[in-house]
Amino acid sequence: MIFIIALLTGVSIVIAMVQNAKLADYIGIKQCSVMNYVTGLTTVTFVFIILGESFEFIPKLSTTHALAYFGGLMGIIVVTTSTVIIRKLSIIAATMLMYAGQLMMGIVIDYLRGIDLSIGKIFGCILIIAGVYFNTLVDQRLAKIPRVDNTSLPLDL
Amino acid sequence: MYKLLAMFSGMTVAIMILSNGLLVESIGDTPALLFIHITGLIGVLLLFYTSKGYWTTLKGIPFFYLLGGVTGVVSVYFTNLAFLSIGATVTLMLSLVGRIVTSTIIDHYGFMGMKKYPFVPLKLLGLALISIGALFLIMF
Repeated sequence: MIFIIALLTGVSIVIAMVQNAKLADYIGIKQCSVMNYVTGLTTVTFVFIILGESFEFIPKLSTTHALAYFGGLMGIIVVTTSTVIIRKLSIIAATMLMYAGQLMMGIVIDYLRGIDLSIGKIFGCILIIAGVYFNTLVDQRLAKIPRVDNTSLPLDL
Repeated sequence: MYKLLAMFSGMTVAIMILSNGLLVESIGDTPALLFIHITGLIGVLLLFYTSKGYWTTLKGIPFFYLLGGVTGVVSVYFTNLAFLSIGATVTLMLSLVGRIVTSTIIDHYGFMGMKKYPFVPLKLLGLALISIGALFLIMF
């Protein structure tokens, strides 16, 4: 069961991006980002109430590392940019390039915190980018070949 | 260009995870999510008004498309659950499998009116490179 949930984390990330992309088709990217936070906040508020969480966390905020305050704002960049790219690239290219970017920055963060650079991770990023690039080339080739569209056959044969 | 933007977006995810992680450590899961969404909503509204955004009616939009924010929150809770019981490595790996499979299926069939990028056997080569690369990222 928990393995299915782990799988679903990946599935849900992709579905959320597609939902936002479709919504942006109707109302534009700016309002789409706003909507994303409105529905998200509504959901979290429900969970907060159902779990019976208390507001005792508020005083703790003053002792929290300053960087912790900016996650929500960085989320805006993430939601907005991911909505832009998923409408321009194939979904696999968009999600995998995001993943590679995330891991590259992860390497930088590790490095800044004094954790050694890992050649394996850098090699992994290069492989992902190569794979995405290769499949993009395949897509460009496919787009040039005129395809026979079966659905356009007349029905009264 | 959009490919670079995709990588930039991913880089922002990494910093976001770092700062959200700090917040969770300090005040706990759900309060952190609440704080993140409140600050995010304030920020996004400021941005909306300063960039002269205008409101469009939500009438006629399929309800499911409005729920991207909900799916995002569900995703966070799933991730927390999985991290706690099977650990980071297995979670990351399975999450990646989920991402690759879902992306490939939606690309191929063009579900939800997305542009179709048909799957052809040749693409297995690219997917293999991506998967091996991802394994390297997780294992090292």
